[in-house]
Amino acid sequence: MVIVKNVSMEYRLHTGGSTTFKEFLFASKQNKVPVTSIKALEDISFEVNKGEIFGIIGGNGAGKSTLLKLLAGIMKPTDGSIKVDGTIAPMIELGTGFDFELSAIENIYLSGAILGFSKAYLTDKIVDIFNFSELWEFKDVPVKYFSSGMLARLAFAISTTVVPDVLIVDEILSVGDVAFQKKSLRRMNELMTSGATVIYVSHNIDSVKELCDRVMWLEKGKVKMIGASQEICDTYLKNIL
Amino acid sequence: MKLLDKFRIALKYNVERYCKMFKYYFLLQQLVAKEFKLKYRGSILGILWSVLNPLLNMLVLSIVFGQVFSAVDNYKLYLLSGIIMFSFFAEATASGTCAITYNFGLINKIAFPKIVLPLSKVFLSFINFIMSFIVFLILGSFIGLEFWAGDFALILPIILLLMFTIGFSLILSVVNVYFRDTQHLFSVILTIWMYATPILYPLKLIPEEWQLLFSNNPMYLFIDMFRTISMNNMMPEVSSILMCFGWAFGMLIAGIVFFKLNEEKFIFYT
Repeated sequence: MVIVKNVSMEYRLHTGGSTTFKEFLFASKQNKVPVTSIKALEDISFEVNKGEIFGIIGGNGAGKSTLLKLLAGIMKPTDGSIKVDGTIAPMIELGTGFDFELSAIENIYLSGAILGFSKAYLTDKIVDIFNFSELWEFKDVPVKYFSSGMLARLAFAISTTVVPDVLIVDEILSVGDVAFQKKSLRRMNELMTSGATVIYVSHNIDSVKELCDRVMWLEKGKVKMIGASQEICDTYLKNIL
Repeated sequence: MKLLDKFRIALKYNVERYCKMFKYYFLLQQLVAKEFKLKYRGSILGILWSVLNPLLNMLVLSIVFGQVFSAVDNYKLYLLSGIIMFSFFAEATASGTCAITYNFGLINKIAFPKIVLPLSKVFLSFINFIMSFIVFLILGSFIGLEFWAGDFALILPIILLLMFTIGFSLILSVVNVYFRDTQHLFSVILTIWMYATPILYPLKLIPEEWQLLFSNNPMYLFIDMFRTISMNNMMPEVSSILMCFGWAFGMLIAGIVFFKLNEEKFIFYT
């Protein structure tokens, strides 16, 4: 389903951001900043099978976010190859692709379209989305009038209803009031145990241990261990304590 | 045999790629629809503005310059044809320039063909253009535009201008990622370009030695082609048709290639 082979990622850091045209024209040698490069990932290889829940753990700066961006196709690796059968997408961060002037229903189509879904598919899912988010009476209201809780509910409902073949989940989202949080947690568990292929990234080791079939432990851009979730998580916990 | 295999693989790869692109046709449509809705939301005259704008522009300019250029046949239509075509180009390229930089938030989160961003801007302006074009025809029928069978050929300058504009916007949107000054610089260039294009004055006014330069300005070529067909009821010369084709295809291909070559680097400049 997902095959990652010898993937490395190197960032070239242009200190100071983008150059202006003036700087480009008139830069003299001494004020050109040397380009430093950082290896975010080095020689990563793993496979995720169909229907598997695959966990990725590791401390800050281990390269988890970079790996997720590579998997989602947002960036291309400097080296190595990534093969994915079917569509893959991160669970869209709350409100990504929303336009606040548009109504709830228009935003569903817009953010669904950005994820690459067809109109027919989205029309099919709209009832689900509104049922789950309990926002029926606001379906034609511009999103800018939504409370932050309502907005989060809508975004969560979209990203858990419109699901790609391989789903990337970056931390379980806690949104809305307590009742909705319970509901969303249940939805996440349903989603992940329903036979979908999931790549799950979290700092919550207990939930990783419980949900995942296999786990990969990243450290400083390299694979430290990879294997059954129980074993890896226990070693990881022992190691950091 | 080996070559044939290679060819087959390349063909398969490209067909798959285009199918993928087609999947994002819906996204393109959504983006255009979104901008279209937002542009006129809250204004009373709404969509009428896209028609009123060039008309009012034409009126003001024809009052100011009508006497000066009284030698031009049907000066009002001469102006209007130039204005609608150039404002389409100006609007599309100016908004296309920022299409990538304004959407870094999205580019950072989701993988999708980024080409739809500048494309949506161009198509939005193109809808406006089509409406002003219809007004040009309606108004023209009252003030001396004679229709003839050749008017169907007007599709030619319109499509060629669209292609040229798409190519140009794609290049600008990429350049603006690397040099944010582009958006400011280009608005100045647009003003100069507009006055350098025979829109409110006839080409004849330009001194002999400069005419070659002015008459090879691609924008003038498209506008002239449009005027020749619609106002002079003549088919443009083969040489000018070829020039327009050259500019349109050349710019479109250059734009797509340049965009594709740079698309993957955008993420590092957010």
